[in-house]
Amino acid sequence: MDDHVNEVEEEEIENGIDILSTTVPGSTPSGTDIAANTSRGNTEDLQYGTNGNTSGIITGYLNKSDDFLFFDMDFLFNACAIFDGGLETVGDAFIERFRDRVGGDFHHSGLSASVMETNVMRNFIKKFGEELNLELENSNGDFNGISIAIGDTRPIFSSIYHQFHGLKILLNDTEHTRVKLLNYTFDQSTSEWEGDFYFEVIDHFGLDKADALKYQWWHSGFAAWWILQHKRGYVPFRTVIRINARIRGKIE
Amino acid sequence: MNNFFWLLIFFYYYLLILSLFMLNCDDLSEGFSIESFEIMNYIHLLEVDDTTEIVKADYYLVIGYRGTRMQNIAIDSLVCKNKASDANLYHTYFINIYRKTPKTNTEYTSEFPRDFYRYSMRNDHLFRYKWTYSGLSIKETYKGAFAYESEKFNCVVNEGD
Repeated sequence: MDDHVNEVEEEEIENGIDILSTTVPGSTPSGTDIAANTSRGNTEDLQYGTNGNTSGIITGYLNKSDDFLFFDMDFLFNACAIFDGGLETVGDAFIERFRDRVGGDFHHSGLSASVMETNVMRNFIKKFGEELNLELENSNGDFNGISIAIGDTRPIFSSIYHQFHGLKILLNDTEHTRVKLLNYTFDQSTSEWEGDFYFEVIDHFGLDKADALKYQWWHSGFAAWWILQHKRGYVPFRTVIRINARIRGKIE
Repeated sequence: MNNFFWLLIFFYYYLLILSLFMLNCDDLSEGFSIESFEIMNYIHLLEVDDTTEIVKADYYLVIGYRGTRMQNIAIDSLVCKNKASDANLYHTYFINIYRKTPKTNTEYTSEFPRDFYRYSMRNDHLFRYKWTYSGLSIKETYKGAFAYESEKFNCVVNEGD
């Protein structure tokens, strides 16, 4: 565990795009869709019910009480956010919503704020900025009509660093991201552009069988989570992360 | 004596040609090859401001990649040769090149598809070629999950067809 104390996040890339500011908006701002990545297309992790196929799941857990399973799930989340007390609180809120069987979309400003600070997200924003810059070079700085397919590039929090700082258990590889253009300026004399963009990252707070089977031997809380979702009918939900970013670039 | 002299000349000439040939083909002859990574190919609908556009991506695996100039030329050449003939009909068309490793190959990715995003994209992504509706033609070189270099790229032979 001591090794993971010194684990650092991936480096922030330098690609000519500057992030001037980032904030977490309270709701989805109105703007123009300008980019999106490819949806991962996983739907199994949002399914739930009482008749899931239990083959391969730790057998000793199948008859445990809901309270026992939630205790183990809670233990898992605390272990995975051991170096980030703020995200431990977010984890508690997520488990509570799951336990309350609410479903739907869930935005937690604390999670968005944590994601906003990571180099994973900053690099994703900068990568988008670089792709936008190429399109602007092509259109001589005209933002009108630009739309960008980001492909399968996505914010992914699967590193060892995020494994013990909370974002791997809460998000890991994200489902879908879209970007809206809120406003922009282009200076003809310097060829510099500046714009406000809204990034919305969607993820599924749910567990599918493949992940349960893969990770339950690392921590039994994964088996508890899968049983609660697929055998006891507790309801997964979509996590929404909202970030506004002001970025700057220069066309050549 | 005269025959021996010419035999010697011929021998040295043969050695020279052989060396030049081996220099040129060094890394292409030592287990380097490219194969389709077809299970990752996709056609995706991009919804932007009430319009739906089509995005297509093809994937390839490189075996024995060492990053030499000859190997990179071979990859560029394969990309141009295999670029979809209807690429200009898509909003964006991608060709992704990955290094073939124990965790990035057809069998493993079929069994553990999520590891493609969690591992392969971070560790084995080499290049992404991109052609867009707006006329952009870009080659991106990857290090980790994000490209660290983008350059304009033209398939002269392919696009001249």
